[in-house]
Amino acid sequence: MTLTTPVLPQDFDAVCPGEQWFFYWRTSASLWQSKLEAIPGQFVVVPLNWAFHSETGEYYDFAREKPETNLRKLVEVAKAVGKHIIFLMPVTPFPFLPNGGLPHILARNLCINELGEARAFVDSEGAIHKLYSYFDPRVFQAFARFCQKTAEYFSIHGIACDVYGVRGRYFEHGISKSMMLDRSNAFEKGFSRFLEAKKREGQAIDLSHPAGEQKLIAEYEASVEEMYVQTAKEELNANWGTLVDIGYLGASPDLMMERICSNESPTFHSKELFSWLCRDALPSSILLPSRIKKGNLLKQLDALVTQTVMPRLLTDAVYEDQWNAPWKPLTFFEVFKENEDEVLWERLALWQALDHRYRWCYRVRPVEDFKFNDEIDFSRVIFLSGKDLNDKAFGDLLKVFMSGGKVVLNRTGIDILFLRRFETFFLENSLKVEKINFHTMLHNITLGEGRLLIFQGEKLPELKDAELSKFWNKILETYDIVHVDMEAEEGVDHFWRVREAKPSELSFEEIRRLNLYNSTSYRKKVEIRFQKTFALLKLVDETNVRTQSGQGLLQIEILPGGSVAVDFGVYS
Amino acid sequence: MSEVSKGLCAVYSQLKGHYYLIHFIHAHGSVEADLGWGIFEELFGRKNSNYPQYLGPFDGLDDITKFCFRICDEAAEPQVNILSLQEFNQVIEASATIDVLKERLPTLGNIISNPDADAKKGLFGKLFN
Repeated sequence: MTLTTPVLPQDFDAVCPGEQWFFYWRTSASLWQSKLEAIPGQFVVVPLNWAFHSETGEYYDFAREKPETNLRKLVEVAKAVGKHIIFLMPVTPFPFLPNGGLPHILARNLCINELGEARAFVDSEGAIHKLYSYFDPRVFQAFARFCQKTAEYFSIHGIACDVYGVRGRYFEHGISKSMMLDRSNAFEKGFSRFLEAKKREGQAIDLSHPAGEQKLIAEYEASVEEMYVQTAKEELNANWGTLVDIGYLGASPDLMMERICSNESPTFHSKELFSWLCRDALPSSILLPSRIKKGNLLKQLDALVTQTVMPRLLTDAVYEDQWNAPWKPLTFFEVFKENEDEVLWERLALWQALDHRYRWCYRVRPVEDFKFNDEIDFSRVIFLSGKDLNDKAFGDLLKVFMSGGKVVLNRTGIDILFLRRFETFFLENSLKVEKINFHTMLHNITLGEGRLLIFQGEKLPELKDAELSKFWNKILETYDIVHVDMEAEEGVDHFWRVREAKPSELSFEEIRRLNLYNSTSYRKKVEIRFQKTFALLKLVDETNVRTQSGQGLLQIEILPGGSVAVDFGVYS
Repeated sequence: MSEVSKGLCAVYSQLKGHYYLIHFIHAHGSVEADLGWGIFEELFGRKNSNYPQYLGPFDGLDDITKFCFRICDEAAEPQVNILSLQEFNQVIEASATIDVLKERLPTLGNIISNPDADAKKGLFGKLFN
């Protein structure tokens, strides 16, 4: 029999705020073991707290003064209780730490957003954390030193745990923003230097219109972010895992005012969670108070984050034979955008159309991620804007098409040269161009499994909502996407996941799981109709639901707070 | 319930020559968009906006005051305090917790009282309690 210190729930939340995270600085090193034991699962995610190891950014404490800075001990304690530690190195501010995690002496330039509003975040305990500029060169120099000192310490003490670089993201009015965002004087000075350097290199700078300036700002921001990432990667090379985007729930500036009034909606956070999953980011509830994290939101965090995305994004950190995380979000579409601020697809009402039948079954990705490579999934329909095409992207588009991929291209804003190159390509390969006038001019080209649909987007915003909806529905229908038909009453959240069939499920091509959540105070009905290519396998984790099934039909009644997962086998 | 329950709090900013309300809250959260836009249109008509996420555009501070007071009156709230973004930033910077922020917010900026308000409960209080 051993004597252990009991862990109180409130205390546990402060140290272990959810999704396997562990805040080592918030408790005595002598209590690490009991707290780590209480975390379920095999691995623990540990963010590195820069300011906790250094007050000035010069001198570093790794187990010299404060016992809680002893990361070697932390790793040993975790190992003793059967946990694997994954360290997170912030390459953008951590919004759950004072000053965003900066040593206080470096917290000099308060970050402001494009409106001039101070950037601040409320943590799970109601503390307001102000962020300070990462565009200050002194911060960058100190960050390099932090990475160097951490790497030295890990090397000397034989710490072999993986270190993942993390970029923070948050939503503001539905637009994903970087935690690094800043428009303070520190940013302005750096941006001026960036422009000067461009001028010296003889590059043309167009600041005559807002879009041109915005492009340059985005380029500058990306280059600074990349400097932080590369520095961390080079210094921590021996332990470096990869770079992960973390999407913080509850970090919207508007939500801060709701926080003041303690009037947050868990349903809002569910939507944030699903939206982050659609951006391949790791959602984090670290900023949410524990009173919010209950019921269906807690179930979603466990099923979709801890069990599904986290193991996939942090996959190098675990031994494959000990790992069993087969699910991944189901994806039919990949929509590429120039940047998050761009609302072109919104204006064309694409999201409404996708949400109608394929809600959350799409990925929103930056256009620079569009590449032809071995990882490309040809079963997905790719949406691209012609204005975003450059030589490389144009070449990759043709490769995708010729390899059997499906691309929908909005030709608005496309360089005329690319249109000519398309014509030449079609002629040289004797490809038939099918022209259809349906609300706008459509060009449909097929080559084996490959399909390229080019449309003129500028005419679409003139259409009425119903016509736009009809336009997209007709287009989407032509892709013969194998999916069930679902009618759910408003207020029911759902999310689809997919995994490969196990040896015992060989008659199926894949298994799809539909998670349904009713977070309202009313009874809700869901009706699912499925074709012969689907087999209803089982219901999982039923809470407050009643079901009735028939031939190709499943009716579910979900009581308030209820949830259920439904597994379907998909025949090839 | 802390001091913020006394009334409304509005934070304005100037964007490209016009004023917008970037925050407008009552004791239970943000002022409902339907109410805000309804009164806005009634007072100033329908206006094109580059920032549809924010209430506005207002031509000047007088219009903001007029609008905020009208909402305050409509909702029978006892007061509205109107802060500039600079004032809001200062209070954010000086507040370590949301409890501190909650106490300080209603005491800052231009405070306009509504003597006709229901002394016990305004519209938002009735809606949420």
